Amino acid sequence: MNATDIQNILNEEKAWLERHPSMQPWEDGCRRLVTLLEDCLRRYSEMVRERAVRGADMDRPIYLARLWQCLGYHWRDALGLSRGDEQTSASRVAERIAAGRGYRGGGQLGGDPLRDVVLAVAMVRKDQRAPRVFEEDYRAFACGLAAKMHKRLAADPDSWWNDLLDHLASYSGRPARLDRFCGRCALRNWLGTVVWNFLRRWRLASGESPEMDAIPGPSPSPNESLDHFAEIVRLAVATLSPRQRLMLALIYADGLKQNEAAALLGVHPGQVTRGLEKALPRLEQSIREIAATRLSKEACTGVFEDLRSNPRMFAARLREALEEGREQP
Amino acid sequence: MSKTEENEILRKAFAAAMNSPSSALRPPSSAFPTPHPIDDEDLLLDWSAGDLPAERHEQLLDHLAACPACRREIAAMVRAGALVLPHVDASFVVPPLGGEDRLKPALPTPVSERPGYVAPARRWRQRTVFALIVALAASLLLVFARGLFDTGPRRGGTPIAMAQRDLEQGRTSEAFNRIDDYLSQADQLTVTADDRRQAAAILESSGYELARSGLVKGDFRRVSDVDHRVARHTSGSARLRNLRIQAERGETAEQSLSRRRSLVRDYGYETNGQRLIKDFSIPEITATVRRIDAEWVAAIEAFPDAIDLRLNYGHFLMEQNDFQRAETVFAEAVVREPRNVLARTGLGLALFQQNRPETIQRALEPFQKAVELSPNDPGVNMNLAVCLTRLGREAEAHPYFEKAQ
Repeated sequence: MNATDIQNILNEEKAWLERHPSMQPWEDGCRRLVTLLEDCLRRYSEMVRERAVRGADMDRPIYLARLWQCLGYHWRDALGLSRGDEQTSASRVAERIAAGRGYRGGGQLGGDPLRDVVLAVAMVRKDQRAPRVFEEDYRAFACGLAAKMHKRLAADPDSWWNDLLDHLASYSGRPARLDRFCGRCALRNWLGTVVWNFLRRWRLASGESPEMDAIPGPSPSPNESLDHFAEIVRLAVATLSPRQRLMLALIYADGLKQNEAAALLGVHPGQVTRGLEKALPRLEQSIREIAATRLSKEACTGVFEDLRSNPRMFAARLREALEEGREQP
Repeated sequence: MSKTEENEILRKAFAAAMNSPSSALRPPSSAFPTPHPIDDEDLLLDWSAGDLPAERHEQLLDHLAACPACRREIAAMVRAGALVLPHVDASFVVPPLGGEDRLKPALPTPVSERPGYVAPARRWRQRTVFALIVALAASLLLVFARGLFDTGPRRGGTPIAMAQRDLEQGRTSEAFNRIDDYLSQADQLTVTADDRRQAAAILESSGYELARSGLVKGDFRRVSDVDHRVARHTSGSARLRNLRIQAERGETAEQSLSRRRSLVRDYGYETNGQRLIKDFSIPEITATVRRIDAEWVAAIEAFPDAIDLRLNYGHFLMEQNDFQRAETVFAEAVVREPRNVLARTGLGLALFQQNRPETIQRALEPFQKAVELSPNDPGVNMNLAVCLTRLGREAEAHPYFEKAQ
């Protein structure tokens, strides 16, 4: 890659770029854009490298191209939401995302993706200082995730940390995962998913049994009437729609908060609240109807008496029913 | 076994369910088709960045609904903060702009997807997230458990019943928002005419309380907003319209009005027997004042039986020094409600302020009626006393001055 590479990249995207007033005339606009990218590179490379990237550095075009990949992504978002005016000039966009603010619905990026892009390139290019910066910034975060996955991982982070660095920055010659970080969000958000998946695979590869974390299934029922009731609950859950079961399972079986479940389902949290308001009465109604057809009054009383002595049994049956994800028979 | 005992048992059962969250790590089940989304890191990263097309998101949810292993794993990632998903927040929605000259994004991915959202102070949150989950979900489960096997009328969990409860317990804002949401969706739901009527009544009551407190605090915008929201779902409310016009007056004339000494206090703002005292002022004649005048007329046409509207309109006219029209308005109010002290007082004032011997003489009768109706009210006693004094009947005025002290 030579010094004209960034110009070539911009030329390839001329179709949408030249429509912005700040890119008129085209040559001057490109010059201003490259100057902006170089400013970003100088500022951030001083933070994460031994020294700032200079004009003669061989890596300079690579840094510029990756910075443009990040800035261009967010600039297109900005232009997609408003007209091409001063507020959506490249410099304004760079200022905004450097402050951790994206354009997709006003969401937070979780950090400065421009700085993170430079760090990612420095990591992959094996700059001397970058791993130290990376470790200072993200080791505690990765250990925190590991602790949530399994205590042993958190107790012995040295056992997997170097493997993780190799996975991210390719010290053993395999493709570096950080090469695919393009700054759509901050590195912390991106790393969360990547580190979690890495640790999951690492555990499986290192021979750890995933069953060690698994919750034991419900113990044998103490008596027949409770099993009757568990079956009723299971049948009632099966009458819900798949999406309703998913929502209930995310909240009651997996322990997500309502806003987390809403984000997962891609709906407003209010819709989850309303969904629960519809699903729970329906479940209640189903339990009542099924119980009326299956159990005598005495049997119902017996079930309640059993539950008094063993509420965990019913709880386990309810969760089991939610986790089954079965269609209505 | 009593229902209380049954509910207690169920409460414990649900609490037990919530106190044993499921595992974070289980292998994908081979019973479901591959590839599993948890193995597709790029898919998860696209999802997190808000770049997942709607169609793929639907497919993903379908898979999660059918694959407990993937669902558990992804839920664990979300819980741990490893997978940060874009939040859908109505206040963040930016309507796309149209127009030929709009710059088209060159990305193949749609911009309409939600952004990646990272809550601040994540580490702190992670420490408390489990406790929050338990508290939140347990409370929801309790709502369910309480209604379980309840043979009474099924009102406990409906938005109407919840809003009614909110209203009774003084949570006016919650009641208003809940019922507003409910009525907004009524077209998509099966709502009986009875429920709709009941919901509209709650909306109006809670809206009135909200608007009234907004007016007291000088939050005029809130009053207009509430009136607008109520009018979307109902045919309107006279007392809310009254408050809204009062709010508009307060909002527009607040800074420009100057005080003047007056015979009596203003009885504007109020309704339903409760009076909020306001200074009697002289407004500027502006386009806004004319608009508000027209709004009063329209409101009175829409709600001819709403006496408060007439009273406040009369007062408004007096603020404009239009005492003759005010007299007419108050006289109509007296005809409709002869025992209304404020109507009598208003009529007396409108006549008195015309400041001619014959009108001051005529003002005496409504002032006297007002005192008969409300003998202990210092304001009406003062009015009668001043009126008698102007007529040269100081001796008669003296006891009314005494009572007015």
